[in-house]
Amino acid sequence: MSSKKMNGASVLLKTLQDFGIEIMTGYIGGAIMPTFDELINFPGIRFITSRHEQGAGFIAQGYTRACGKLMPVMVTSGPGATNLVTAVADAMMDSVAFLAITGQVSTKVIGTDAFQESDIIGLMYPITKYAEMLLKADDVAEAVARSVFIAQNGRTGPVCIDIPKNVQIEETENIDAPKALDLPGVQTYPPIDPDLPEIKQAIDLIKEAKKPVALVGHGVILSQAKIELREFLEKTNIPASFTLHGLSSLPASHPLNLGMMGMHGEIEANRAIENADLLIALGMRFDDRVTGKLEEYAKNSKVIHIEIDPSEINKNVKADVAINGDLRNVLQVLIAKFDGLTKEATDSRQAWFDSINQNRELSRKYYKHIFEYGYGKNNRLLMSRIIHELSEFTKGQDNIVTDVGQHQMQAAKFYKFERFNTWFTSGGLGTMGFGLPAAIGVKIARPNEEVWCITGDGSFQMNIQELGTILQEKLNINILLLNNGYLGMVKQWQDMFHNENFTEVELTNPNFAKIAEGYGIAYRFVEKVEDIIPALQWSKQETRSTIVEFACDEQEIVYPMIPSGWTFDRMILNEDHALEILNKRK
Amino acid sequence: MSKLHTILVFAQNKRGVLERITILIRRKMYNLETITASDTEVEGIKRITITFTQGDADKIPQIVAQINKIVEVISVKAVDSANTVEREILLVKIKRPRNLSEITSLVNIFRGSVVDLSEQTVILQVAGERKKILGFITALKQFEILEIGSSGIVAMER
Ligand SMILES: Cc1ncc(C[n+]2csc(CCOP(=O)(O)OP(=O)(O)O)c2C)c(N)n1
Ligand SMILES: [Mg+2]
Repeated sequence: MSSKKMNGASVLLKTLQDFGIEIMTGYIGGAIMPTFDELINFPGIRFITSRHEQGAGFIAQGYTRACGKLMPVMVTSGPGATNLVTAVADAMMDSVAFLAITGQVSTKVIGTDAFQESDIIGLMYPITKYAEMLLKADDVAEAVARSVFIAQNGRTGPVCIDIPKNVQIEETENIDAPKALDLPGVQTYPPIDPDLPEIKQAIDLIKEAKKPVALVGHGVILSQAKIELREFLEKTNIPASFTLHGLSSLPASHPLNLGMMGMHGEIEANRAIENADLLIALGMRFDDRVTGKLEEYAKNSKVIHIEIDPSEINKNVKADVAINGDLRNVLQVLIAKFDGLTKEATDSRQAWFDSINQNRELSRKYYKHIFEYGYGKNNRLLMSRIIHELSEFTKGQDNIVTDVGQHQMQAAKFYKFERFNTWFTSGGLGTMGFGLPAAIGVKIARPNEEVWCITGDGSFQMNIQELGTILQEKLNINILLLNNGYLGMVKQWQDMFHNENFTEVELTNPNFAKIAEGYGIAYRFVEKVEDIIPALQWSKQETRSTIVEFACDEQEIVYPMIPSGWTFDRMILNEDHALEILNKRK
Repeated sequence: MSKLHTILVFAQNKRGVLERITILIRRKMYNLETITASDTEVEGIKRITITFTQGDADKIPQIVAQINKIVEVISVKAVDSANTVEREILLVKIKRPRNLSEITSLVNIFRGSVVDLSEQTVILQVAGERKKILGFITALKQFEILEIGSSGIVAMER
């Protein structure tokens, strides 16, 4: 132990720096001021001040999703910490490594309802992997090391350190984190034994499958299994469908890519899942948006489930073979052990791909009006067409960050991702307001790449204040505002399942051109198909951030759709089919 | 009487462990019957016994997996009742009957004891497995029961 003394605040920052932290975000306030005071002594740590703590939380998420490194979020007690809660819950649902550092009132007054005191640990417990309040400066170094480790190991996720003001000020000689941590409950994943019986069982099922589909989830991105996924699919000749978070893990142009599965999944993906004899789930958790009616899901198929979190196995869908481990490692083992399909399986592949291709044709037919015309019933632009143009313009190479709603689903469907991990969205929690701050985080992580924030008029206004962060940090982000004047996704549900009772979904929107002007952001308005590409071109060339506002058709509906709790065989294919199946034909 | 499922947890004695477990139980809508925490032969390690009602049978592997994710948890398992000793302590306060021997003979049958005697009331103590505890309460029906309290179940594998 060194005899040098430091205060708790400095030890906190020093430990973060020792663990390679280069950047933090957050918002200052009373109970965290001593730690902000010390920032000046840590020039190696850049600090981004957001305009709202939730914004900071999503900036950090964008950064971590893009580059894999932690960006701690430091906020004050009470309102600062409660403002952060949504971003933490979102990180938990989407397994994003996240470190929240919340100031707290001094230990002397904890429990007295002191000014800006709230029970942050109590709030954080259900939405974090781990949360602790530090009671002594002596504990800070070890606690920070512990939190950094927990956030980034096993199934990654959020962690919270709550640090009372007096602990930040108190001096300690414990300035170095111990080398070894005692964390019995943190599951880490050493390479699996290639001779596990489950590996052989999985290989046997794969070899014999006549109609297999891989279900590719976020785990592929989180374990960086880009090469392994492709090799596994190619070697076994298995087509792949993707959860919302699995998108961008295999180039869209790859012949085995069936696109997204689930509620708004592609016909070819959902039909393949419906008819498969083997589902190979790779780092995904059978969310209800993916399964539809759970009791009927995968009824006629075997299931191989490869997953890092043992509590996800058999949680929703029972696995015939379950392999618990890091996906990249498991795929490497499967690739090495796979020695070809049986003759029967090989022979039946052609028929399987034929049926898949028929469904691809069907999709293409239903999307024809989007590609050939591009306007909706009210002669305004279709979101799907705008995304399609963006996809063509960027050749599927750029970073796409979205908000939540119809524009998000159309982005997931019509952007053809060619590059690994270039898709950033709030999936599990589905948080409107994710887009703009997350785009800031992605841009900070990838300063030399183009970042497109695809947002809706509703979602944009949930964290619109982060335009101020863009202004202050002089960032160059391309904001595509798909304005349909409505909370479109909710309106879609009202249209389909609530008797067209369009309650509280119409928005009186501000003049976005003036808002852009106020924040020093370049602005354009687009209402014609032929103006889309020129506007994208302009946006890309602008050295400032830009907003391109599109006049979108409020009648556009995202198809196909498997409504919540429905079975796959009742997938609604297009508008005509919807009128029929929902008994709405007049 | 419905059979209970018992989960035995060993965890580091840190603030918040019990809270995390109970939050999980509420969040996942499991039906908690009893929960106890106590010291073990190893300093700094707590034994936590949790019981659930029978309706939750298929949820047990899931709750075990979820509890296992709590950082401070060293081990967790659903115990096999055939291979486990499960005990709790019951205290019952009854109105003092005219004839005390009636009550003492009943207590003797259940190998319990009279632990407090006042002018108005008697407090009885019985220890044992749940079946016996419930049996004792049924046997006391002829007396006027004023209060019942029990420790919750502690489980130990053979
Ligand atoms: C914070 C939050 N509040 C409410 C919702 C419910 N919700 C989901 S989509 C949506 C509408 C989104 O509207 P907009 O951003 O304009 O996108 P659009 O669907 O019109 O493309 C709403 C209200 C949500 N997901 N997140
Ligand atoms: Mg909208």
